Amino acid sequence: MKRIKQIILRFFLGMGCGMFIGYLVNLVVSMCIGNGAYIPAMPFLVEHCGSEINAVHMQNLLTGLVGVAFCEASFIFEKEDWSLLRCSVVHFLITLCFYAPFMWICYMPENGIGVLSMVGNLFFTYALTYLIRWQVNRRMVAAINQRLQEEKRRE
Amino acid sequence: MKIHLEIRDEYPEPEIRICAAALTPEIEKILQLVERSPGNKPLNGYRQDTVTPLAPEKILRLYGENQKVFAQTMEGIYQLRERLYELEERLGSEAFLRISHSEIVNRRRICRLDVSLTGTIAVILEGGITTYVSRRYVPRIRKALEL
Repeated sequence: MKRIKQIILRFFLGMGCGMFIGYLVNLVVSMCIGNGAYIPAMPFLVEHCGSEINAVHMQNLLTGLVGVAFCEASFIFEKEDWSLLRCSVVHFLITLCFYAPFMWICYMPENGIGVLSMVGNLFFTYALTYLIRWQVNRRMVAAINQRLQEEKRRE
Repeated sequence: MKIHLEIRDEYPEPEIRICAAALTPEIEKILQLVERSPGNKPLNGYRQDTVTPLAPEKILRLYGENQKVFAQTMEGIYQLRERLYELEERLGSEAFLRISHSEIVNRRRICRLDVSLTGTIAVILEGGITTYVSRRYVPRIRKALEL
């Protein structure tokens, strides 16, 4: 029961965060290439979906799904017998399965470099997050070791 | 069964010694009764047919495996009759830290902790014995060490 509640909560959290981040990305893209106008979706997507509103629906759905994948896949980190690295790699692969199609459909990279930069973007974010987390762990372990040494000296 | 009681000044701490040709169910029952009594500090470690009293300060770690609980000391591994949570309560967090769902280690026998590139946190105990901390228990360890 508790697990089902967590799954539902993460679904809505993922959907909301995904859509919000998608909206922020849209804002940034509009600021870069919009010339003062707001671009709700890329022109080729609007053409493909038949109307602007349909394209926005498609984009919202896909960004929401990426967010859901991100949140639901985080249950992987509860596997205590897996190392942090293994959990991170599996999480990355799961979110990539949703992220890659989303980027392809909404932003359609024109060539191999475009594809690589998309995947590279996601990979870089994961690598950076992992390194930060690892560094935090290292500092914490150093503090624990110091405390243990202090206790031994006191005895 | 003969019962022999000796009250003398040369025994500052009460000691129970059972002499028998083999470890029978009757003797095991008596041991269980004695183990449950309060103020009984050493734990009984079982190995093959022998029972060895284990002083808590000599135990490096206590862990559960295949529905059994084991104690590892510098001398070797012994099976215990108590459950892990009972041992944790009895020994207290002053002496033993829980590092995973099925393991507690003697705080004073920890040499150091190490974190590998894969993010795994290892505990290196005296005698070069290595065991691993579960991610979920790291906050608990920090709290026990007042960090």
